This record gives sequence, C-alpha cells and structure tokens, in this order.
Amino acid sequence: MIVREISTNNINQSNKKKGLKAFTPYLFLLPHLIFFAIFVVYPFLYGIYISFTNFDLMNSPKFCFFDNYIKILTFGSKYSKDFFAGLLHTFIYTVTAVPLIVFVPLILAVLLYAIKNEKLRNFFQSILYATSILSVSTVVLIFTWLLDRDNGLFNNLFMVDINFKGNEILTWVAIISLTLWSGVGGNMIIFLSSISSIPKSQYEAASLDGANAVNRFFRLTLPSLRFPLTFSLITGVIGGFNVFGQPFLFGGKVGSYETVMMEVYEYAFGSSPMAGMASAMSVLLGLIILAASVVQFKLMKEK
Amino acid sequence: MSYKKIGLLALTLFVIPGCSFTSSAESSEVESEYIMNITNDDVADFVDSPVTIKFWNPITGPDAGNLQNLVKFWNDTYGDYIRIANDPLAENDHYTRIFTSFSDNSTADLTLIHSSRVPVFQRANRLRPMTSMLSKVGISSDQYLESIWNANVYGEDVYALAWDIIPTVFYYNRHLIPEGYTEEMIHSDDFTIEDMEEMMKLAYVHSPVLTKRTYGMSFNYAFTENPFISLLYQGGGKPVDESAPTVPTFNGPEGYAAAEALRSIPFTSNADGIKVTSESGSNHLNIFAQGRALFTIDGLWSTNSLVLNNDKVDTGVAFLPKVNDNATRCTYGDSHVFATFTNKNQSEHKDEAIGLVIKFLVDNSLEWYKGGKVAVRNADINNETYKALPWAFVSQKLDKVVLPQKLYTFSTICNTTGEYISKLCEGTLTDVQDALDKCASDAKDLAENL
Repeated sequence: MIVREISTNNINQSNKKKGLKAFTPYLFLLPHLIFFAIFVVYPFLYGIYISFTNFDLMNSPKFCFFDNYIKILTFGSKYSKDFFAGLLHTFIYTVTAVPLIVFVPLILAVLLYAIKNEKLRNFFQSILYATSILSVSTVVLIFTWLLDRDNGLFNNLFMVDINFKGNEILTWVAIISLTLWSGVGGNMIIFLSSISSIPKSQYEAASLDGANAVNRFFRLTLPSLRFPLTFSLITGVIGGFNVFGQPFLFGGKVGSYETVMMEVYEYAFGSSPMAGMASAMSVLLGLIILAASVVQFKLMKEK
Repeated sequence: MSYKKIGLLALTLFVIPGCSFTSSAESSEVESEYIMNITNDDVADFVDSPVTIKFWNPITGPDAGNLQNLVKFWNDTYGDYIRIANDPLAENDHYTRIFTSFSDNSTADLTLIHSSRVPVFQRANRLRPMTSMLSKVGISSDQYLESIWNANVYGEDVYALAWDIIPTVFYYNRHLIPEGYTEEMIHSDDFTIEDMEEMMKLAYVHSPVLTKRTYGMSFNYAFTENPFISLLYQGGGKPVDESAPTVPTFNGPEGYAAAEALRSIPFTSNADGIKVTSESGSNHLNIFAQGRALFTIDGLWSTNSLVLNNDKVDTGVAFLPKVNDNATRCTYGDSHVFATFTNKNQSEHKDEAIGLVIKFLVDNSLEWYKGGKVAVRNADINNETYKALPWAFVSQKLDKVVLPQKLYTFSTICNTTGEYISKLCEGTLTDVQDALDKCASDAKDLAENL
C-alpha cells in the first residue's frame, strides 16, 4: 500500500515536472506573445471590425455591415473612384519599382562580388549601402531639392526646365528613382552574402567545364539565390502595395500620385474622418496583397 | 581625478551656465508692453494648486513667433501658477491629433481650431460651451463684431471664441505694376480677374525685370479651394444651401463663372508667354518673395513672410479681384477660434485658469494680428497701431468678408472642390461644368456619410 502511494506520488511529481517542462518554452515565448497580441493581433482584428462600422473618430462606432465595402465597390461613387485610382497608382508603382529594387541590387551584388580586392569591394559596398540608412523623409527632401523646378540642381546643372511635379510620368520617375536610390543597399547586402556562401569550387568546376560569366550567372548564381530572391520579391511587393511616404512627401499634380495608403490616410484623418471607410479600404488592399503574395510564392516554389 | 572627469566637470561648469545665460538673453527680447489685466488676486487660487494648460494649435508658420511671444510673456509672469504648455503642430497633424485623442478623452485643455470646423465638433458633442468661462473673465458679445461672435453661438451657448479673420487675398509687387495701372485701381471695387490678367500681360511687355524665370503670377495649384469659394460668393452663389446641408450648390452658373475665371489665370497667362507657377512643383511664395512674380494668391497668413519681413519686394495686399463685371468684390475668410474640447482632465479649477489665459491672449490680440490677421474685437479695429498694418483695410470692408457657413457639411463640401479646381487649372480636366458636376456628386457622397 505504502509502496503504491510512493509510486503514485513519484508519478504525480514526474508528471508535474513533465508538465512544467512542456510549459517552459511557452513562458519564454510569453513576453513576445503578449506584445504580439497587443500590438499586432488586436489592432488587426479591431481594424477588420472597424471596417464594418461607420466610425468617425468622434462618435462610437455603429455597425453598418457591408455598407463601406458596397460603397467602395459601387462604380462611380466617390469612394470607388478614390480607391481604384489609388490602386492603379499603387499598381504602377509596384510593377515598376519592385523589379528594379530586386534586380538592380542583384546586378550590383554580382559586380561587387567580382571585385577581387577586398578593401575596394568593402568601399563600394559601404557607399552603396549608405543611402539605406537614411529615412524616407530625408531621402524625399534630398530629391525635392535636387529636382526642384526653379532652384534644383538637376535643372540648373543641365540648363533645362523640367517640372518633375507637373507631369504624372515624371513624378513617378522621380518617386521610383528615390525609392531605388535609398532601397538598393538592403537587398544588395542580402544577395551579396548569399553569393558569398556559394562554394567557390562550384564556380571553378563550371569554369573548367567551359561556362562563361553569363552562363555561370544564370546556371549557378541565380538558382542559388532562389530563397533571397523570393524573400526580396514578396517583401518588395508588400512594401510596394503599402507605399505611402515617398509619394505623400514628394507630391505632384493633384490626382496623379495618390496611392491606396494615401487614400486610407486621407479618409481616416481628413477634414471629416471616416475611419470605417478607411479600414474597409485597408482590408481590401490587404486581401490583394495576400493574393499577390500567395501567387508569387507558388510561382517561385514551382520554378 | 581622471582627465575624463575633469573634462566633464569643465563641461558642467561652463556649458550649462552658458545655456541659462542664452535663455535669459532671449527672454529679454520679448516685448514687455503687453496688457496684463489679470491681477494677483485672480491667480491667488492657483498659488497652492498650480495648473498647466495644455494648449494645442496649428500655428507653425511665420506667425508662430507672435504666439510664442505671448505665451512666453504669460509664463514669465504667471507661469509658476498657471503655465501654458504651448504645443503647435502643422494643420493636418493638429487635426489628426485632435481626432485621435477623442479615443481616450485626452484632448488639450485649450485648442485653437478653425471656425469652419466648429459645426463638425459641436454636432458630435465634443465641444464644451464656453459661455460661463468667458463671462467670468468679462468677455462678452458687445466687444465683438456681431457676425463673428454669432458664428460660434449654438442655441444660447458660445462654443468657440474667434481670435481673428484670415481672408483669402492676393499679393502684388509694387515695382512690377505696369504703366497705366495704379494701386487705387487694384483696390477698387471694379477690379476684375480680366484686369489682373491684362496687368500680367502688360507687365511682361513693359517690365525689364521680367525675364525667363520671372512670372506674371506665381500661382499655387494646390491652393484653389479658398479662391474658388471666394469667387463663388462674389457671383452670389454659395457652396451649400442651409435647407439641404448634404446637397452641394457650387455647380450652378456662379460656380461655373468662378471656376472658369480661376482656370483662365494660368491658361491666359501661358498663352501670352507669361509663365505661371507652380505646377505643384515650385514654392509660389518663395518665387514671389524673391521678386520674380507680379502677383500671387494666398491667405492673409502669409503676410509675415511676404510683406513684413521681405526686404526684396515692396508688396501690396488686396482682396481677390471680381470674377466678372456683374459680381460684387468680396472674399472668403475663415478664422482661428479658441475652443475647449470635452476631456478627462477638465475641472472648474482648470476652467478658471483657461478663462484667464484666454483673456490675456485676446487682450493682446494686437501682437497676434501683426502675424497677418484681421481684427475681430471692436476695440482693436479702432486701434491706431492696428490701423497702420498694411492689411487693416480689410477691417473697413468687413461686410465683404464672407465667413464659413454654420453647417457640419460645409468644410467637407468645400474641401472637395480643391481637387477638381486644381485639375481644371492644371489642365487635367477641361470641361468646367462636367468637372463641377462630378465634384458635386463626390461632395454629396461624402456629406451623406457624415
């Protein structure tokens, strides 16, 4: 009897220890989970909830079901015009800026890797990365000054009279240029480190087999960069769809540069806030980004 | 003692007193001729329980210095008992902060907002009546212009106190006025947009100053809403009818004439070889301030940089020209108003302090008007120093300054016009009536959602 009790106690203690042990990892995760729940999960869910209300930041939100979504998707309404015009600009930005922000750093990384002198390589690497540490507002300020019609360096240096903010295409050229200028360094570092991790013996073997530089790039370097490329493309597309700071701060002709996120901001905090409508636009944009990411991921996985 | 510690000590001994010395030197620059109608007895209640008044405002431009001077003088005098925590933000951010602070009821104790916004906040029950607070410090309707006082009265209560009027105006460069034109003509009730355009052409022909990079008008395409509303009123129209607040009325014949007149400024000018800036790209005020434009259109708030602190250009300021011969020359003007939002920190004790602060600020409105504002108190309008200000003429023509309509949809409906009028001026849209109709449809969509 006593033996039984002792063994039962031992089993209980062992179970308790096991339970505690199983629980321990979650304790380590808890601080992160708490912050994640407060700052990510709750705002995310609250944002979705708000999109089904007529919340105006002044009065308590009142449930209006799909009213906001219907208004956005009703052709010809103010909300529909703003959302789809914003979406078009966002799409133009994404399809032009993202390939550039991925492939220009890739080419730069390959060129840097080709530099044999380590000091020289580090020098160029630092120069190219330096622009990435600047904030969006600083970058826009630099480009605003460079491209100013009257006092800008560009017009005065080349003795021309180009108004980068007076023409839709030129405005986007400027916005994409400044994005590329400031964003090239981050991806370049990722690609450079990935290229560096490819065993040199593979390049030597390819060379012995008669592969030239172009062949080595397409048959060896590029396949080895599938994961960093997937990462850069997906984060680039997500960033592209969420673009806000660059066009918002740079400006341009009215109605020619507004993105979805700018419309969301305007609806949320404009002269008469419509946070419910802004949230509905955000949710729709989120769904579009999700769909784009899934398609990209599947395509990259297949190839 | 290590060299590091000695260095730190030296830094403490020399740099920190140096900072305080600079501070006291700055304080001596502040004008000491302000009126202080508040006595020690008034602040006696705050000796044992001092308060800090959180003061939010959108004054970040050249006029910010005028407000800072007033706040500094108050804080130097009574700051130990009632301290003003002046917290300005750019206009958009200022309103964003107000809206977001409603969620936890943490709005400032005293806020400066625009009169056109009052109906929106009042309708949402976010504003507290100021009637009792103002009467306790002796501020009453008889001291103010009737229209400006009544603009913020709802029922029996005052919900905001106007501090100024900020009309839309146009600035002219006296050196560039062409032969055959005088300042009297510019200020005359018959002066039209067409006359203005003629002047731009003549200035181009006759003035040797106008070169490739000098303009007849430095026109800001992003500031078209207020000029449009002004020209609309000139023709007898208005943005919205009181009887149907969600239905915009700016797309009638008066609106058409106003939009067409505004659109003609860049187009006529370009056709005659006079460049119009900015196509949203250049800073129109800089160009004018550098003496490179005959005209520019802006609010009176730009006076500080264009008139008072501008040695390069001899600048004049006038009402916007008439939209056409049949119209009446008038202009639209919003105003800055003191408002108290409902918030979790409100108390009778604090309200008493807010009242005293408002009294001090309005008693010294002259300092505020120097920053490009039109007087609203009867006493100030007749003040000799105020009369000497270049824009004091507006006070003699106050019947021609149209204030915002007291409607919760007014600011939203007016805001919608900016985008379309800008597109017409930029040439993105060409059919004026179609643009106005689409704009009215958009404005109606928004107004119905309020």
